[in-house]
Amino acid sequence: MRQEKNVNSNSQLNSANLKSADVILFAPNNELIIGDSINGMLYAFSTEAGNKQEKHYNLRAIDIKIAEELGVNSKNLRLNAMAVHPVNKEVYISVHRGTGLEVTPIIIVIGSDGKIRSPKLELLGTFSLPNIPDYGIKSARNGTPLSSLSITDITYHKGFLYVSGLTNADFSSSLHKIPYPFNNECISSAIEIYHAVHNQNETRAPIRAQTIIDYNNESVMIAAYTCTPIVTIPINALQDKALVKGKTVADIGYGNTPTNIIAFKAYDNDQKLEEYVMVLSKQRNAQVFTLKSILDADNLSKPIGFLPGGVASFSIPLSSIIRISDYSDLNFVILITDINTGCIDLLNIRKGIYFRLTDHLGEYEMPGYQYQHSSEHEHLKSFQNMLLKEEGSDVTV
Amino acid sequence: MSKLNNYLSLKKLDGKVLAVEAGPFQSEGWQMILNLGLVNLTKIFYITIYNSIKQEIIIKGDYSLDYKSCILVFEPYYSFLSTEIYKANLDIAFIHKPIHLLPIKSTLEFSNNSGETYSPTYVTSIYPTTRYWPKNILRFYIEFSDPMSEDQVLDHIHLVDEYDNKQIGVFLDTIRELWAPNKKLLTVLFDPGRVKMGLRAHSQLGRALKQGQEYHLVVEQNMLDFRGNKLRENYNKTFFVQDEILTQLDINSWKFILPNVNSFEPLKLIFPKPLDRSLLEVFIQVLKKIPS
Repeated sequence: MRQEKNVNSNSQLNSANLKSADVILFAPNNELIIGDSINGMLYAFSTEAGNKQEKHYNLRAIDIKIAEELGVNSKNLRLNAMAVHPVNKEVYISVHRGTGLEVTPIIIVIGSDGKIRSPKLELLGTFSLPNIPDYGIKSARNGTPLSSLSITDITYHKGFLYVSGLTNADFSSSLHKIPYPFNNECISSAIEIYHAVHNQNETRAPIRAQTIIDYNNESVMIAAYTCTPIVTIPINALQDKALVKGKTVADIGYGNTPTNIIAFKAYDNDQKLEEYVMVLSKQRNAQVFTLKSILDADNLSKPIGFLPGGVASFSIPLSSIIRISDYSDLNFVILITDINTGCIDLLNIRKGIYFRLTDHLGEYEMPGYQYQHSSEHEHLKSFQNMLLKEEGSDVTV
Repeated sequence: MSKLNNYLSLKKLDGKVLAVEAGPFQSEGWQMILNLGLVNLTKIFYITIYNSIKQEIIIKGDYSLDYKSCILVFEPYYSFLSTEIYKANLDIAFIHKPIHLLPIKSTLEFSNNSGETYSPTYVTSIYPTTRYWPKNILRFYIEFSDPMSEDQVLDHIHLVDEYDNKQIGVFLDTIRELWAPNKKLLTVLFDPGRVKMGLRAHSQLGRALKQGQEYHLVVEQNMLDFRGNKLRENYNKTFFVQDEILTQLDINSWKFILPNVNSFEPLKLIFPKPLDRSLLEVFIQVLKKIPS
């Protein structure tokens, strides 16, 4: 007899013996790829297509609800990675339940109605990464096991999975190019970059976040590193056991670990559709570059001290983001920490605007505020009403 | 106190919570519980997180009823953690009407501090499993219950003779240790220079294993698994050394016991002497015969 059928253990994940679920993404045919750093393995699962949902995500304190479903206090739950199902637009989240030795990786699905369930996953294939760091080796300062960094990010692009992370080689920062569906082949390159803040060439620290874009018949990876160089890597040049040099185009500043890079289109101030690249970080504000500026950039090959340098970017009002995913033409979906409650929210956020009206208490929200009778204010009002509606507010202005 | 209280007690066992009838006969109250539907069952018997901070967390899982033994079993979907304190609640106040007993409440607080979720890694087997090894054996395999860390084999795996003398230089010091990709199976080679005849190491040092003697292969508890944790215990395999085997394998001496057609019976192969476990798994395959 089952108490409720919506969430039970991911039997497929258990039988595949996953140790961690650090990165998740969708490949064609709605196939879910899970990167397990501890095992140094990639797993591919089929998912159900389901029906497309239309509503916006406005789910506050989703971590509390997930914790309740999984029978733990939210402090014993870590939300790791997120991916949006390509067809039905449901959000898939990989969570680690428990801490330390008791960690169990679990995949859950959250609908925009807030319902949480276990996906039906069928194992399609696995791939074992070559030369993952040995289990005993730890980082020099804080003792992080390096095997936890065997996979830092994965991108699917034109029949290949591009997997960044560490190997046990001397030049440990690696980029694996793996045919998908898996056929046991793999091209593994070591990556070297110039780190302008450190004024040195670096081959050890891994790529932390990446995306791939097509440009003039070439495919280019845009990657971000800790402390925070932004680098382009010509992925057509990847060769097995070769050292590939990335081109440093920008540095968004020291003391920072980037978490996500996402390429997207949004309307600029002149209502022109522009291509952008956004870098989200643990410590610094999200930064947006025009794609063109990154691709046209000169090589940043000189020390820049402690200030950001290279291609210019603009700062947008997004911080404390755990994960961001593309959701629709107009929206991202974000997993974001509310610094007042400490809870994690799952929200849609508009491209090009990058904020939610209901998060703010400004002049417009004060009692007695009167909108002017101008076309500018009429436009503003209807825009604000549209945002309020999307954000699930029943108030209009 | 109610009569029922004498008969029902809560226990935690093997990651499950049990409501057990302690008495020798089936009480009326127990019969009522057994006859409850699932919805009502969850109202009288449920497990919560006792130290929950923000909301009451009711643990979800499967209920099963063992009518014969009078046991009501709750098995959580996800294992109980050592970092939480749980409270099992049995509260039959809900079914007050049909039972002519006072309503009772019984609770059990527990945590998963017995390490049920995580059990330390251990050596599951050393192959060959036989107690008699030929003195010219070249390799053996150590199988672990979970993946292991590398670069520690020669520090933690020893050969000791029957007088407790640690044998030095008997294993081959390979640049990379010979781990299977799952890091659970380790191949250890005896120094082939001492095993194979006609080589300098063989003629100067002789074979590591002396015929007729007893040896102990020791896998130290200090060997670390993938989590960086020690093994559950030292593992000690005792074997006796027999004469060398120099004859080639003769497949004609193998016996095949074939399964019956359309059955699920196993195909059995009987060998005249123990063979290399790992190679057996690689080289023995069942192929479909293609009609000529």
